[in-house]
Amino acid sequence: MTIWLRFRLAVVGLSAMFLLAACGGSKGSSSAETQTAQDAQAKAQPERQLPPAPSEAKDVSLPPVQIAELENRLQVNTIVADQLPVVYATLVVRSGGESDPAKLPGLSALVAQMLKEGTTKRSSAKIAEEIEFLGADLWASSDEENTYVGVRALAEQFDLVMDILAEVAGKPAFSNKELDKLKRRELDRLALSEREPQYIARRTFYRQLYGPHPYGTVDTNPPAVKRVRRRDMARWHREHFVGKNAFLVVTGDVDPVQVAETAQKTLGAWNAGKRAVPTYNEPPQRSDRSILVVDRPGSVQSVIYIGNLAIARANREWIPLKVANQVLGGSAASRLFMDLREKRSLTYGAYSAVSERVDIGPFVAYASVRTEVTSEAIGAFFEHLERINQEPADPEELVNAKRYLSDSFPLRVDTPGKLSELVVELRTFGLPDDYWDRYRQWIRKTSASEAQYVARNYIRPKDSLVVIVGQAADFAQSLQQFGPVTVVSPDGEVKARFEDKRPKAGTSGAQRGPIQ
Amino acid sequence: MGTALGVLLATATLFVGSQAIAEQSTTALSNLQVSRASLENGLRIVMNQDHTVPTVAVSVYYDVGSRREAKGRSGFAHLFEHMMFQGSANVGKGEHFSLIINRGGSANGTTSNDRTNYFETLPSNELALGLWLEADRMRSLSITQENFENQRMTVMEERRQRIDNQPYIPSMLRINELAYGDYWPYAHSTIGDMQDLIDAPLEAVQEFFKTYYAPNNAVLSISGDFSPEEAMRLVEKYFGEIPARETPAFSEPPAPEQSAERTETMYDANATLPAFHFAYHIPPNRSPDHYALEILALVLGDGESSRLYQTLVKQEEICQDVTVGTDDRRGPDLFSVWAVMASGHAPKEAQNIILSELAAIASKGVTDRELEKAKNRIHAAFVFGLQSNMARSQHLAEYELYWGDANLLKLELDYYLAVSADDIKRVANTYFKANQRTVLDVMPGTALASEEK
Repeated sequence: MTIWLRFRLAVVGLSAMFLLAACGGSKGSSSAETQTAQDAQAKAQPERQLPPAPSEAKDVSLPPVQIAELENRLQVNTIVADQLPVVYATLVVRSGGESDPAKLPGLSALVAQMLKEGTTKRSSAKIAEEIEFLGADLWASSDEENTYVGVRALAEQFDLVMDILAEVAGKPAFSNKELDKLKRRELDRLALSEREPQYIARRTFYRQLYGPHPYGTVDTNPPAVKRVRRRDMARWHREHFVGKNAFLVVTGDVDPVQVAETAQKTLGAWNAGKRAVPTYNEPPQRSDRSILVVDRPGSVQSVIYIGNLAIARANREWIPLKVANQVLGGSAASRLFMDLREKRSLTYGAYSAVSERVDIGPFVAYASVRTEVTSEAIGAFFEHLERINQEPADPEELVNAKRYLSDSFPLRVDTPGKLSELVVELRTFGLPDDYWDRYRQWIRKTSASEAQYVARNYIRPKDSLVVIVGQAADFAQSLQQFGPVTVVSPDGEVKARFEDKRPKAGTSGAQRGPIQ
Repeated sequence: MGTALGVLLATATLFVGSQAIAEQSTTALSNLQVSRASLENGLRIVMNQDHTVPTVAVSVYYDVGSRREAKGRSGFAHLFEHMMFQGSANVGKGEHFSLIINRGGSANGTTSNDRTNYFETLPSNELALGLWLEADRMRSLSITQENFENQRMTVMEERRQRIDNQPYIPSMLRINELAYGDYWPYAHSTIGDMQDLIDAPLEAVQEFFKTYYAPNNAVLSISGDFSPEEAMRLVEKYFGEIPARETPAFSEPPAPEQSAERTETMYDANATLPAFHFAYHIPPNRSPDHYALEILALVLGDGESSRLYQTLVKQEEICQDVTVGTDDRRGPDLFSVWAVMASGHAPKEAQNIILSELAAIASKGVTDRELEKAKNRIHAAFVFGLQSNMARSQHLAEYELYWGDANLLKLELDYYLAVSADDIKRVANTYFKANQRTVLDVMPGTALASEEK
């Protein structure tokens, strides 16, 4: 009933974004830090009872990753987590959207979808029936960096489901009949997405921010769907689905030796091939702020994305930047949420994030706000971006941000599925196996000046790109106070331009309007 | 909405298969360590130890959902849920979240027709913090005009963001209004009417707290890495002094009555493709026929091998997507089909096929293989759906609150596995009558624009 739930409305206190923002670290925090946080609270409200102190923390690490390599150089990673009779297997091909041909944006995602639509041995319907009959789930998808084929099953079905997984990944039929069906579904999906304000905002933001860089394309488009042929798919598949360009992650109630044997049996016949090297075209250099409003008449809210190019995941400075971002907008305890939602009532939630990418990733702050307060919300965002860029965080804020990032690690390792995700992250970004232990130490050692130093470099309100999807007539002109404004229709046609009317120094002019 | 078993099946998904698998997952279920206790003030406590990872999940379920709301006060239970994060005697505004997040945890709350829940997962050395926070707000919530105005605005924004600005979502509210008709508890939406949110007075919120947020109207559930003795000591310490209060029983109105098919067409300016809802009246969750109806829903709509996905999406190519399910309410429930059409196809085409599938099942039943597959899926769903401490604490709390004993969860799988092919045929004959059906067609655009054509 997974699908069914997509259509149910769960009314939740906080946006799901908040839950996704959870991040990790373990090992009890040092008692000095604990003390600081509690003292700060005690000072603020002396008459109040203090919250109970933690008892002694238990350490938890990522369990050891057992590594084997098939003859074709495909790497097999196994973590034994045997509390329940389940297994998760994820085959990761190290090529995703970054390897789409220029003329076929979204090809990797289309290939992923076609994998389940039939192999040289089994029809689409038969694959679905056999997997579902076992009570298992099989999925295929792609993102900017990778293409994934995954399965979740009861542990004793491991050999059976691996057989199907390997066949789906390795011997797709790419039948023209199924491809035509997929094309029809994709065209309808894309048409529907055009009506979703979040989708429009995201697509526009990345296109503007990254230009010709592959991260600039967040989805396929109708011309590409119509153009793509069977042989484009087969060629992309042949080139990227090879041993040296793939790895397998298996977690659950399994024996690493048997996992390696099963992997050899099912995936061992793949060619070794070579590791694919994507071409990252230069994204446009941005030296000033620009504000792009996508007009959506009738919209009751404005969807806001503000950000800039920032940093690659493997860069050591990603760690202090993660801390700075936690202070700014990483959770419901961060500045953006506390101010834009809890104090000013502008939104259901406001957050910021530093994306995890192989090449240069973006810093993004975002919220959906009601139309009337769009300008006030932009002002508030810039106020907070300026502050994190200009001033070190308060000691208490810093302690809290670091504790969250380090001490929430046990929550990131509590199911085999989550263990798999951590291993995929290590391999995707080329991080060492002891990374998750070191990560927590690095987080704890981050100083206020370090966090501010990286925030100054990587959170840059002066050359931010702002994308707003909403009813432009109500607010576009008022945004002049923040920089030059261009209003476009959803298909990119320019409808109006408003010149830059920032106060002369080019600062944000932190506008505080009354709460309406 | 998004109710209990629905969530269980969702996080999990379903199962069947060989006898060996069945035994394995049954064992996983019956191995659950569950103990129950209660305080003098009526607070019920469920504890489930599992030391796999050093985390602990705490859930508090209050026996109040939107079904308890008076007319003109829709959205109250949910608005109130927001107020529970606004501070109490020893916790400042916003500190509930920040205390939990800053000590490495995560927290949230949700409201459905049938209950309101609050929950947090914490590193296991922070169990005391979670219990202390829950007790403080149960005892001493601070309901100020300022906090209330702020959360009223936040909820209105939530409604705009998640409902009014999204394609098809308004129809999810409308189908309940139509199908439940005069049965107000489920006819009105949990998020509430915008005007009711605007009109909500502070006194009503204070009254709501007094009426429903009593220890004797709640279940506290703890799962994970903790010692029950230590936990009970803390529970006594933090919750023991909170006085019990008289809580009105839910006065169940007469079940919804329907004597003829209801149909309506609505327009959705954010939509691009026609879509529709089917809804049939069925008995409450966990009534004997409900299990068979859930299995039937799986045969029809669960996964890409299901009958309707294969027919409507893959073979006929007239639908973009189709989903089938029960809502799993404590009271009168619905069996629903939701489909988005493929471009160029009208709802009627898919509706005719669905009606003939339902008729075929009523006369011929489902195949043995389909039945076995559905049971395998349910079986696996129980195993996958109870993996995390949070999932276990929530499901156990719900069983304790709704059905009086958390241990019933351990037996639940047996009811599904006992469903026979004849049961499915029988329920298909009993419930899928035209006069029990509501059909809501959703058309892209606006009513005016379509008249102009």
